[in-house]
Amino acid sequence: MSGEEKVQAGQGSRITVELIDVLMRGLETARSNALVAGEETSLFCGVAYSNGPVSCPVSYWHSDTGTGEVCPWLYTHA
Amino acid sequence: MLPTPIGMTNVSAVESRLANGVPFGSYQHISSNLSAIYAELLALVATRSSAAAKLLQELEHVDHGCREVVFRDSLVRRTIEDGVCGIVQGADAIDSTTLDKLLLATAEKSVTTRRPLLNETADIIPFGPQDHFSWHAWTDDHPATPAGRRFQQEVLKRLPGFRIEVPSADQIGMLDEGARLGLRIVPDLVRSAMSHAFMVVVGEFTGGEHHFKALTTPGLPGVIILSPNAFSGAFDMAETLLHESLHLKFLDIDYVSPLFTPGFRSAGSPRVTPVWHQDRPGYGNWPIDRVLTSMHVYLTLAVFLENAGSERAAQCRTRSAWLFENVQCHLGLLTPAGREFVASIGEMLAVLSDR
Repeated sequence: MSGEEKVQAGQGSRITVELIDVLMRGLETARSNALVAGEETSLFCGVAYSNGPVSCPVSYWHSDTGTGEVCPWLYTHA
Repeated sequence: MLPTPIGMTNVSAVESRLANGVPFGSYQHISSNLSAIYAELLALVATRSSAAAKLLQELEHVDHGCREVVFRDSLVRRTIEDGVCGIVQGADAIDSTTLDKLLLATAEKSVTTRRPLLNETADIIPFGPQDHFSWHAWTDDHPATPAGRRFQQEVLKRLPGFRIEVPSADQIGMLDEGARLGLRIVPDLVRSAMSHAFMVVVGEFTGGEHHFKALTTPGLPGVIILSPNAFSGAFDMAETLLHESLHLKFLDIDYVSPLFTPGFRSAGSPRVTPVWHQDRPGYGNWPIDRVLTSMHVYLTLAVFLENAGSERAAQCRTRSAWLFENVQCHLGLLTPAGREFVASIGEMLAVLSDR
């Protein structure tokens, strides 16, 4: 039985294909340590920093530009 | 863009919906569904693990509140997810010995004491009011238990080059002040959002090339990572904790009501560059999951800052609205729940604009 069939086997189960995909996305972030910062890969999001553009290993990343603003996300990344 | 002021009359209505609405606001709704989901995931792991079966059996004899506490622990969630990914997808996520050790510890220590596993197995310090779920700061520089070590490893796996630090007494004090201040400014909203946060980890990247203030990452449910730079004052901390908790809430919503069609990945996503970043190379190119979570954070911060009397409230509302408009041509990437989530943000933006 394939993974997808296992997921769909339980009638009324909350363990759906969509949920497993959510879990896999979370698991994949653990494999980013094998990658080199600066590469555009499926696990990195491209974000700029105060000291130049690099790629970050996480999806929701806030930079500190050192400007002293209350929330750097608002003024730099968002 | 010149943001227009927000009318105060409708702020409380949006605050209430963000904090208590179903299905995307209420912590109680999301948490009870998360507990049910993790119980099912655990049952799947129990087909291969006697420790999982024991934990499942123990959980059958406790009330919902206890199950919620057990499943609120970031490491317990991570462990169960690793077990499921191994069974369903063949992923090499966790070895069976470690899985059994952690789930057995959960059965023996967490369920019996009605406290999260990491409370019982690692050095952590609670902060904020203790009348609801407490939040914790990680203070264990040499974890002595498999659970403590595994948690540390899971954080470091996702943050290459990161060095975990033990927060000082002053930093713990500021976390506490920030949480309490946030609860005074928008009690329901902050309580609802921060209930999705379980652990704050403080640290920095070695080498100093990655400057950051605060972050969250998929795969570490309930975990906020803070740089020492985030400890600049109680109000900043209140906003930072709320901001990061909103990202964690978004991730939890995605478990309960998956928002993206299967196969969606940030790297393959269409990109959106916010208009306020158009002249700033490197700052745009947001994948759609980031657009959605940012839209959610901006709307929430608009309410928070309006209540705090900050002029930035209107800017946050305007930016949330811009993201809402620009995500409309990417709705095909979303599930029906994802489209409902976007629509709910649009409805709340309309309320804020209705003066």
